[in-house]
Amino acid sequence: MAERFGGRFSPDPPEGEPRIEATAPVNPFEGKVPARAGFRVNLLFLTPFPLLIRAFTMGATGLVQTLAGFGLLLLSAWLTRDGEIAHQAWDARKVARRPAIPRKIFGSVTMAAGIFLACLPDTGSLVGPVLLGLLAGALHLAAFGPDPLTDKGMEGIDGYQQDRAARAVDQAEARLAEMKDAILRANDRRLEARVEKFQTTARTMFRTVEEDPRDLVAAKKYLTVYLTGARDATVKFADLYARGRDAKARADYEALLDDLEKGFSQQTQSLLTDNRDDLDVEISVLRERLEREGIRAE
Amino acid sequence: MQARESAGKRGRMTAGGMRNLAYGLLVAVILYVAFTGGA
Repeated sequence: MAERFGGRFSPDPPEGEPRIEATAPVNPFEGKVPARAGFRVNLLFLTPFPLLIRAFTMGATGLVQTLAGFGLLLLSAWLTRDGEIAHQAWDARKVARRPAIPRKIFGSVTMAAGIFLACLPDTGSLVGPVLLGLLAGALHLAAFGPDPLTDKGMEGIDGYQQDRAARAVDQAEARLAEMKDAILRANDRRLEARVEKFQTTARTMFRTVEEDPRDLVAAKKYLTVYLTGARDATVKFADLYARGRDAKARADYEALLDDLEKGFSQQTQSLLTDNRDDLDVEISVLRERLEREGIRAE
Repeated sequence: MQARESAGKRGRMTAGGMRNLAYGLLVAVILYVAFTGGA
């Protein structure tokens, strides 16, 4: 007689065996956006290089002017890259200050100046270099856009509290990065993916704290004590696991990450509920007042 | 996404298309200056 196939992972496991739920695999690209400072910006570093060769076919003045232009073009590419990174960071946050230095706009200006200087030796007049410089500057501005010039979502936010929250989040991010570095030593792709998943959960809390810096008090323990502990545990585990591939240690470590992740998401949820309570109080106070003044129809 | 598609369908230039065009022209201008010196 045919025997029914069944095991721990089958829909109907035999009596007395625990059923193991499969978890849906998390897309490794979840929550990630393509880097803005990619090939387009990096190409700007390469295009001016023919100038280096041209420079040494000229007289002394031409050499100096062309080299200065070359330097300015590289400076422009560098400013543009940093500006794009800052712009992306600004886009990613719901509450953000504008960048201290408008790097992309400076990039446009240095681009114009660089093209002007590079053209200067070969054309007798100033008209050509000026026109080409202005054209390049305008094209740069159109291609990469100006930097974000306004603060975003900063109304009603205490600047001091905001700075404290931003600092705490920066330190927490540094701990996450150390954790990631450490787990690379374990040389196990699945563990790396596991740590990445934990980082995504932790970052959800970071964003919540950034949006409402009053949450920092409640989240402080998670951002400092627990993350530091997680990093230290990861460092020790990675060294141990790289040497012996200890399955027990691995299971323990994964259980720790599970617990931490649960703690982080629960805390994030409760932070959001706090905000909800604030909103409820605000609404009920205003509605009571409207009622008292006879504006609200029953 | 919707807006981008419909703008493209109507044959109009999208903001992304403008940026790409500007970028292409910028690279062309830099290369032109780098190879000819703008003369």
